Amino acid sequence: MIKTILTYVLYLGVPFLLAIPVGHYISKVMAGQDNWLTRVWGPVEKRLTRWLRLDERMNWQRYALAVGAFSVLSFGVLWLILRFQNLLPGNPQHFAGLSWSLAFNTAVSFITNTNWQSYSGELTLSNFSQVFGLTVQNFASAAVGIAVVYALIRGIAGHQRHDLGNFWQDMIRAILYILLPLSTLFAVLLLWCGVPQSTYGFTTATLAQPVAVSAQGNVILGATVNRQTETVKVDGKKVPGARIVTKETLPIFPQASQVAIKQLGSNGGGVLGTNSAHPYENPNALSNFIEYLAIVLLPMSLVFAFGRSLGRPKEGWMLFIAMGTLFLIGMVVTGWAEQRGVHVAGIGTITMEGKEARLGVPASAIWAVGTTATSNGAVNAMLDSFSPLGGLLPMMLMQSGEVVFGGVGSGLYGMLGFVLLTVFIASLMVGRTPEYLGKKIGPGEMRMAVLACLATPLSILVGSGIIAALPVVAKSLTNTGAHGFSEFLYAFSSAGGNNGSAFAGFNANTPLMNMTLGLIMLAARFIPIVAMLNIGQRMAEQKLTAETAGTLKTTNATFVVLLLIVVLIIGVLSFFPALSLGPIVDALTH
Amino acid sequence: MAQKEASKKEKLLTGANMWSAVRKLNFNDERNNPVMFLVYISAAMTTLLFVLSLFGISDHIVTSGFIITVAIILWITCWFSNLAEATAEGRGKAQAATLKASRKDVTAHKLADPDQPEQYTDVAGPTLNKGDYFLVKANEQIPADGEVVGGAASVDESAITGESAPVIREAGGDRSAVTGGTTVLSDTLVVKVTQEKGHSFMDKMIGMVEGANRQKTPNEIALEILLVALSIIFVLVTASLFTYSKFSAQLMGQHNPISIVWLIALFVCLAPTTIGALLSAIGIAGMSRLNAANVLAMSGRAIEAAGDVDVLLLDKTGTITFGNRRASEFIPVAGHTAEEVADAAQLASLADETPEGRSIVVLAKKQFNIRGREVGHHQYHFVPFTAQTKMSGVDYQGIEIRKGAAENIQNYVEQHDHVYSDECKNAVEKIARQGGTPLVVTKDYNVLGVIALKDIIKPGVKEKFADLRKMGIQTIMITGDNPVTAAAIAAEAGVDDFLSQATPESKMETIHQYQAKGHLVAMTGDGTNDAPALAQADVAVAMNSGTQAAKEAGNMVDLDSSPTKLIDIVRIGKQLLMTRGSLTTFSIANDISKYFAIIPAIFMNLYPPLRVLNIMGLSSSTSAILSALIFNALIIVALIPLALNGVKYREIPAAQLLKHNLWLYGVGGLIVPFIGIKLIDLIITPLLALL
Repeated sequence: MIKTILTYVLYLGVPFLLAIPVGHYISKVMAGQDNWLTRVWGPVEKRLTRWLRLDERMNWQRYALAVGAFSVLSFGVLWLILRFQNLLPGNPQHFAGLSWSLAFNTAVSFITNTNWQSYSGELTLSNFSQVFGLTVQNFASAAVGIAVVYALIRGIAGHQRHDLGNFWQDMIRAILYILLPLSTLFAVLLLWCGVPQSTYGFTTATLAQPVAVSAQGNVILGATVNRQTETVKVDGKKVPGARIVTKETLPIFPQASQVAIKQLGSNGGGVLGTNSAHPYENPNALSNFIEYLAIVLLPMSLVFAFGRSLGRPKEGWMLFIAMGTLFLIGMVVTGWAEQRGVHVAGIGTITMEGKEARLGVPASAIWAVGTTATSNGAVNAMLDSFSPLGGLLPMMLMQSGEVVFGGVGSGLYGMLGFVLLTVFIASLMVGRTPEYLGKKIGPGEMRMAVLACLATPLSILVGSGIIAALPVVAKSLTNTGAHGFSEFLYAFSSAGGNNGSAFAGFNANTPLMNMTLGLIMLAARFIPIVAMLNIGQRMAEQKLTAETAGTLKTTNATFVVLLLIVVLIIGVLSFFPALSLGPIVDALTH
Repeated sequence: MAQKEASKKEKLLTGANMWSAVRKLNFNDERNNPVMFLVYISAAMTTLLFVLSLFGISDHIVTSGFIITVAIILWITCWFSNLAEATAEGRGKAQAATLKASRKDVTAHKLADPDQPEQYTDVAGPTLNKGDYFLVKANEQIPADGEVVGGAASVDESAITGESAPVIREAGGDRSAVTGGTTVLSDTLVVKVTQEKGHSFMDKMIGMVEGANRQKTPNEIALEILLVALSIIFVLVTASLFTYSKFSAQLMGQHNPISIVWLIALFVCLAPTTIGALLSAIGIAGMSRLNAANVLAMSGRAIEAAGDVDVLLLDKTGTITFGNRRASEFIPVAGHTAEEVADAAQLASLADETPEGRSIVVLAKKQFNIRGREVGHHQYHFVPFTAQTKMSGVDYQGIEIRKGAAENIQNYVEQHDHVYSDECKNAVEKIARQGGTPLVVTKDYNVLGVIALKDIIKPGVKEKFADLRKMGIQTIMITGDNPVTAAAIAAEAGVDDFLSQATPESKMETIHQYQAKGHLVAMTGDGTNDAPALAQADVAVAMNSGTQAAKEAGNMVDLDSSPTKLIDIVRIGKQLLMTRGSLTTFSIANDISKYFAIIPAIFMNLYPPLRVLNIMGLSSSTSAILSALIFNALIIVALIPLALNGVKYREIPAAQLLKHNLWLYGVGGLIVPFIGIKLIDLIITPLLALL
């Protein structure tokens, strides 16, 4: 019990304590102020600035265009790499090129920072695809998130200015000063924990003890293996068609570097199909903690960076408390539900199904909440095996539009969309036309804010609503009834939340699902980006309104409560009917 | 007028309004209100489903009787929304009718040449063009808006102000504007028409009051965007629910258990219909409350801006102090007695008809029993006050008595080689410091003493300003007084700042400075020289007694010409916004209970365990859906009075206000429907059993 509580305290406390200084650092970096890496990167940045004319100021349209151009280019390159990886070097396993639809889905998935994977990495992708395709996008898509949120912050902070900064400059700063050094640090830490970093590919090892498998490939428990006669006996009877396995194939890839940035950049796409549940991605309790730290560190830090960059640290704290409250609720409920386990008739209560024995229940539950709250999507346990309630909370966190810390950058600007909606209602209630931090929220700002907030629910509902009507989808499911529906809903929620985690048990690698989920990911990523950049511009151009006692304060408890209610009602309650057909009925039956 | 309004209110829920609400149930009218338009479409769809079900085309999950019941409730929901709007408009129409009644088609005495008022031709009033001249005689109605170019007359403007006391209108100066529809009581005026036909002040006013040319304000549009977005989400929630349930039923090996009628009902319940139905009524009612306060806003936008105002420029005179200063003390200097000062002061003031002058005569009589002398006597030669000398007085029997502002008297005394003593200077300064106005009295160039004139601060003003400060509104006193006097009065009245020796330029500069710091400024003005400042201010209230230029520069006209009106305007503006916000919160909070009423009702057959979500214990699916729909319709009617009269306004800081309204409308909105739906369920369950 004490150990469990200590686990929670450690997993909650350390990221929080680190987020404050890291946030401070980010705000310095993005403002171009001197920091401890200026010596290293300063000259590089200066030279790039001169070559690429990075001092050119961009208004929102040019900024959005730059984001768009960069993303289209990223998509094109990545799609080509994946489609034609068989023609490219670094493919020791001689994997074939991906199908066009899987390449589309995967490319979209990685440029949108979703990292939904309709495939198993170790059985599909070459080293070249992993390193030059996916890892590059892990950096790039996270940097886009930071850049966009900083364009928005400049808009909120500025008055009567007409630009939001320079996209390329923001990208370069985010990568050089934030993502590269941190991912290097975390990669080294993971190496130290035993995560491999190699281009070996598959290595074969002899098993200490041979294992018997049936003709269908299932392990036969309690079998007696005779190596000489090559026979397998259970209770003295020979099992026909049984085979004896003496060797295993070890997937050894450049895991450490990939895993570090997959976690830091809230990407989540692992090298291996089982993601961080695999010992080569996440070997022990320490590596688990380090990876979890990497998952939540930047999303949390950016909230503090936001407050600092505005010169209003309290605003950052307010957002942190609001997000933290939802995070805590998710963690308590999931933790409780997983600790309690599921009662299965004839077996009793089980808590460990789908979880790794070396990690245990608390670390799995905490991770599930962390990874879905932050739009990361890396998993260290199979959510499909979680208790219904334990599966419900992660799903709700994604359906909220990933605003509980959320993805790197995207979580913050998503939450700011909800803040604008809340400010709108709250300002009216105190008899003022709505304003946020001295900027008026008129029809234009409102139009964009609702677009940003509703992009996730809209794309999930439209996409899943249409697909549910098609009979073919039932073939993708492994379960029937309410749990089957949960698998289905989770896949769409994961795409719509740009999360990328999978519930497992849902086969998404069909052209139809690849396309649909790809389109959902695009909508959920780029609609809010364009909307928030537009709001940034509108706010930048405004004059600051003076603050008085009659102004709505966005830093008190009342506002935080109202914000939470708005997030819950608009972001989560829209899914109440859908959830009641899946996890809720599931929970009521089990 | 406000009371008249209240007594009319009961009558407004009349047959006329109800009928008008029915007529609004047409496609084009409904389209103006997107949220209710969706309800309108839902009602039409349900009606169609009913007709189809009569021919046996139906999902056979619900009966024809159920479908038509839902259709009727939906039509009634639309009608209730129209009723709210019609009732709000009804108020305005009643006000407009009074105005229209006062406007008769009058004959105008058109002048070819304004210098020859005797030679006029009679034409019909409405034919007058901008730039024409006309003559108007006693007991005639003024045919058009214009500017007096000749003569002076007393005019009865009660038709537009409701104030029966006549006002003076004369050529030149700040009282030259006349309004069509008002009546000349005495004398004649020569007037130049300043407005085109159909654009007169009265036309505008009738239009505004009727709400005929009402346009949606930016804030209303922004709120509508939010409501439309929510509605779209709920359309998708219900539409996808259909395929989800089909899909789920398939997994369970069953038929789709959901009826489209149920989904329509769920959509209508979830859509923010409460605020959607009342939104336009809130806007119209806000305007009409402003009209009831005798303020005419040129646009709805101006009322919203009034809610945001955080700096009020208030004229000292009339707002903070009573209109006139009064003599409070005679202070002798250089060995003279107070009585001597009083005697000279009274002599100098005999011909002074200003309230200040009279108060000197009265004080002298009261303190020293000095009687007023016969003014008509030829030996008195009165010297009137002029803007150049800033002195007035009397010459009699070779004696020259003067009273005036300290600086001017000092010049006057020193020019005649007499000493302006330090003692006098001190007395003057002391009075000024206490907020009084010193007038120095001299007799044959010798300073006798000083009269202290004092401003009397209106009771309750200080408390009012303290309340405003709590709400974050600063008050700035505008006065022509010198800085020392102004500071003393400002301190006594409790204003935040003051502008002394105010000129039109300095007023404008002050407004500009506050705006640069991000404040929204409201001011009142009447003269032509106020026009630039009025144009600069965010909320500019022109007095109706003021000039045409001032009225055009402002965005509101105060028909009562009351300087304290600004505070009422701010209140009405805030109340309008608060009503919108509170009802939006209420409307959204209602959704939670509706989910709990409808979701278990429609899925109980597919998944029996979902029965536990029926926390209200509603008797059946049919009853649950109907109860939620009926509640949804009734709450609109229940909230019409709140929409029309506005939520309670209190002068407290924003943080407290938010907490208060959140408890009342947020938590209230959460709980009320749970109770309401349960009660309706209890009532309709036996009725359903009968059927």
